[in-house]
Amino acid sequence: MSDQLGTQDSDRYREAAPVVHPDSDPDRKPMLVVKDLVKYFPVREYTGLFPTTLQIRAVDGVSFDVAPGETLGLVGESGCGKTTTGRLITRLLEPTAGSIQFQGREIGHLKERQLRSMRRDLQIIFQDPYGSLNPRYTVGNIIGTPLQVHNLLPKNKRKARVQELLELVGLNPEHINRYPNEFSGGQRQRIGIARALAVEPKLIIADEPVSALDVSIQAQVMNLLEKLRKELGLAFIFVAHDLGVVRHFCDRVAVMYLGKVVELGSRESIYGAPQHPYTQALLSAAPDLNVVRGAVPEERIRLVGDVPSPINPPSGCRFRTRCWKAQDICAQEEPALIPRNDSGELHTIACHFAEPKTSIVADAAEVTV
Amino acid sequence: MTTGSETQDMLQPAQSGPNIAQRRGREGKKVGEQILKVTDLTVQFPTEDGLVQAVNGLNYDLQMGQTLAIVGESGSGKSVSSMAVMGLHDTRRARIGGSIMLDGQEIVGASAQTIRRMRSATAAMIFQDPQSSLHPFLRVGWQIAEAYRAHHKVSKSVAMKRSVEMLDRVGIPNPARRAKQYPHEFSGGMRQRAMIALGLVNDPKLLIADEPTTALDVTVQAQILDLLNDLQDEFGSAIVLITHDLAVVAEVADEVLVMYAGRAVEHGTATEVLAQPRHPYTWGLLSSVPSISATGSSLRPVRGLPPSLLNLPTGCSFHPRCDFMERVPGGRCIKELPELIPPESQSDRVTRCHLAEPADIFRDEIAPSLDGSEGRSHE
Amino acid sequence: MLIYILRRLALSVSVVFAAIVATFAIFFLGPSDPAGAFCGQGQNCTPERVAIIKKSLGLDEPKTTQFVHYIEGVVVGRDIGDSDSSVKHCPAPCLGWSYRSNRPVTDMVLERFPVTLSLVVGGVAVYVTLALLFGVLAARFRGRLIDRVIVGVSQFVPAIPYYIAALMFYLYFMVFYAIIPRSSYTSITESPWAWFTGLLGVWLFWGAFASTGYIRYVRASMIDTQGQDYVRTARSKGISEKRVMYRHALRAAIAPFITLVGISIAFELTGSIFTERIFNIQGMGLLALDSFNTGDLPVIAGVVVITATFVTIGNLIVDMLYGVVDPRVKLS
Repeated sequence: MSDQLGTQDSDRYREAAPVVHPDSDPDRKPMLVVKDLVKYFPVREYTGLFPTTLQIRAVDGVSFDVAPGETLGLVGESGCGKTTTGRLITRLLEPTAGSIQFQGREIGHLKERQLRSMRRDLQIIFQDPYGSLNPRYTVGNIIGTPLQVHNLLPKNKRKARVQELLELVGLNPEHINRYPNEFSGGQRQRIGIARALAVEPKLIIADEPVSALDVSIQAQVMNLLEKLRKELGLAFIFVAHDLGVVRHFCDRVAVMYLGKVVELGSRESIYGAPQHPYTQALLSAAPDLNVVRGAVPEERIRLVGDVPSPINPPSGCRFRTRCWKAQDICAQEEPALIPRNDSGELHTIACHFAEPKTSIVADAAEVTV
Repeated sequence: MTTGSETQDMLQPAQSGPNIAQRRGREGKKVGEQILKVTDLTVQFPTEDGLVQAVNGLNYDLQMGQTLAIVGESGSGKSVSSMAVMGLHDTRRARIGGSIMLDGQEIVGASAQTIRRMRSATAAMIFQDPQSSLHPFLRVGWQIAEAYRAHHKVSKSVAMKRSVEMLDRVGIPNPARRAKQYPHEFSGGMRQRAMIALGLVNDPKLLIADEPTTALDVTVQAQILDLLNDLQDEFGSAIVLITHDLAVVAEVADEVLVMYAGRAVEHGTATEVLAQPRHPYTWGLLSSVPSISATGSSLRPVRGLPPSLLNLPTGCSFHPRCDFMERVPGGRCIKELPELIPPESQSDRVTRCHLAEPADIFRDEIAPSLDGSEGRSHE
Repeated sequence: MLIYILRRLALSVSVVFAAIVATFAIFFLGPSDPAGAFCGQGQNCTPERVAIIKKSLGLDEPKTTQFVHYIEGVVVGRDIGDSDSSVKHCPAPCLGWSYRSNRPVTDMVLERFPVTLSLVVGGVAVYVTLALLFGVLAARFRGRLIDRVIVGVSQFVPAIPYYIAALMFYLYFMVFYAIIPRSSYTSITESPWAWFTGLLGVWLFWGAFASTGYIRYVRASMIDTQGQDYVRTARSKGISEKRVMYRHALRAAIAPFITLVGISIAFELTGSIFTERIFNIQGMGLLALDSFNTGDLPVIAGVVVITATFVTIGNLIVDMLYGVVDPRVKLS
């Protein structure tokens, strides 16, 4: 397969960037399959005598899957659709089109009542540890409510379970009767995690779970999530803008731009050998702590201008207006998200001119050797 | 209160980075000349619950052409101390002690008139959220021109011309048209550019940037940091960069001052502090940041929570969260507030810790966000 | 901008039409007996006479026909009466014929309208001025004596019943001490000075009384905007504190205040009955009150429709003003 797609020098790239896919297992059975997911938000424009309805194309044809125990990171800048995608999967929003299959069942258009059983296995953790907990409920109520809603435990055993959960997320089980405002931001995020874990879900959508927290607290929560993932065998969809956090936590990474996935692959391939110009620019723009420790700073790619409006996105490839490789074909034809340049079957790139950034270095190496 | 007098001598200009010398000098002040000297600064807020000790005896100074990053988490006092430099605290609600010498002028206790003349002309400040930092009802060009007119006796049209010029200078395309627009017509990155134009319109000697890129996307952040860097080269001003983001510090700062619970815990050149931290808190912060360029082992965060500023811990404020307390004999960490101590070899580097050889200890427990070879490459 | 106004005007027309429908439904479909009221209580009022009156007023027709006639009257005018003998022409916009005064309702209401409008505009001008003045002052010196006095007074005054305060004011200031000219209404076209002096006392009293709530609103709003980042930015420019307060903080605080005033003007228009009664100003409020007493339904309905029309226009003006203050509101 890769030989057909890789048009040139495929062996060399394999040498230069040995891509190891943790998930290249042919028996891989996804628990969540998202296909051609679309979400448009209508907005009314009052320009003429009569209002016209325009569509914000927040998510516009996104496909990926997640296997049990896997962590998929959704990264991109504001307005790329990553948060909307997370909300669609948890069905806090109803998709405009496309399908979401969770554990073999289509959940894209289920009614609220039918969603209940699905929600047992699919939970969400929110970004804002202040807004997402009801201030009038005690921690015990907050964490215990899902148990009650799903009728998981008899009443007399719930308290013990809640305390067990508090302990699991590193909070004092004696604080079961306290209110959210008695906790710090990091502790509240732990409460939100405990609430999500109460029903023993199989997949957790974490929507920027650490971005509102201070650096040291952020690391504490990251470690907690990692511990839980390992101990409980959870799968995660990790929505975040922080590239370091995603690299740290996720096996696979999907890079989004203007409602589309532009590149999807293993952590090693996305961070080690990114092929989409946007991924390359994004990684290049992120400041790197290792600069002071002697890491050789690469030549910087600086994107100019701003992200175009999602109401009227560019034709063809949406990144072309800011891309240094753009040619006529980019405006005419939308590139499909497929393996390119021998990227390996599970590393897909939506770019007509995808190539590893390391190719120049690899070229030079070959000449001198 | 800490004593800072004996440490002042140690905070002399650090010759950090070769680019400083190349920066263009300017009238009045030359690159390398001192612009800001903060001595024993304390900022306290009396509240119903007690006295909030936001800044406790802070000392630092800054030279023209230099970028000092003040790093810390919420409640560390990094923003509060910088607001004091701008005289932005309500004197009825904040108690400010110590001294802030800005371009030879004492700011603590200065008259409203003096402070007003200083603002924007000598020192300017740009803030975290460009969305809320510009007045939503006023045209961007007008807002910039107003700052210019506050310090120059010029006509409105001259000030407006200057405003357009500044917008052009910070890389806003079509500046004349943009000047007539309102902030909501600008994108986030454009707004922060406009804020920078507003900050630099009076050619200040000091620019305080309070988390200038935190609210921005990473590609826009890169643009803004580049811009600040270019402008500093051009104008030769000094920059105080307040941030929590160590990676940003690594990219742009000459010097770093790490604050914890209102005190400086470590101060030195960016390379020294970030590559070889000497304070357990700095080390903990560094170990908390997942790297973008390496897939590392697990993070080693600082455990516990920051202390309440109403009731600071005895001794070293960091001791309840410190992993290295046992290595200091006699329980000194709990009883005795450490001074900012110079290590034997370098005099421009100070740390507030009782640990004798922190560098050796940390080296044994290499910051996990790095792989080993890089961490040791500086030894 | 023009398109916006056109669209808003179209909307206003439909709102007024809805008001007419609602008014008609309430007053003419209900269990009222205008013919009986018109006929009087005396012995002259025989059932035959009531029937004749009904016929002459068109009340014998089906309600739908009556409604069509009413609307027709508003749009093109109509003739009222049964036979050729007593046909009265009521020109558009005809809001009916007063049973009591035997005149077109439109004339009667429009006669009184300038009176109430003068009252309301003057009163609103006074309370807006006071609210901004004292609200800003209190916010600027928050926590100090001047702030406490302003807040204290603004909390105490509304605790006094309005009619008692108004009567005391009338008696003491206009009658006993006569510091302020006694209230009266003269048309502004007749004598601007007499118009002004006649209404001055009412404006001052009413405006001051109404301002108390708005003072606290402006104060809270100003305190809120003072904590905003853009006010901090303004301060860091090195402009004077006064300029920070008025050009930046107040500018932002005034936008929601405009909306509040816009809503309240509707209340003032209808709520001027007390004021008109106590200060003896012959405005729309008194007209409505008198018509209630005599059961002159078309007049009451006319007052309601005209008030609704002007409230709608007022809202349109307020919305446009808001658009001028806050550029984020697009008027295009």
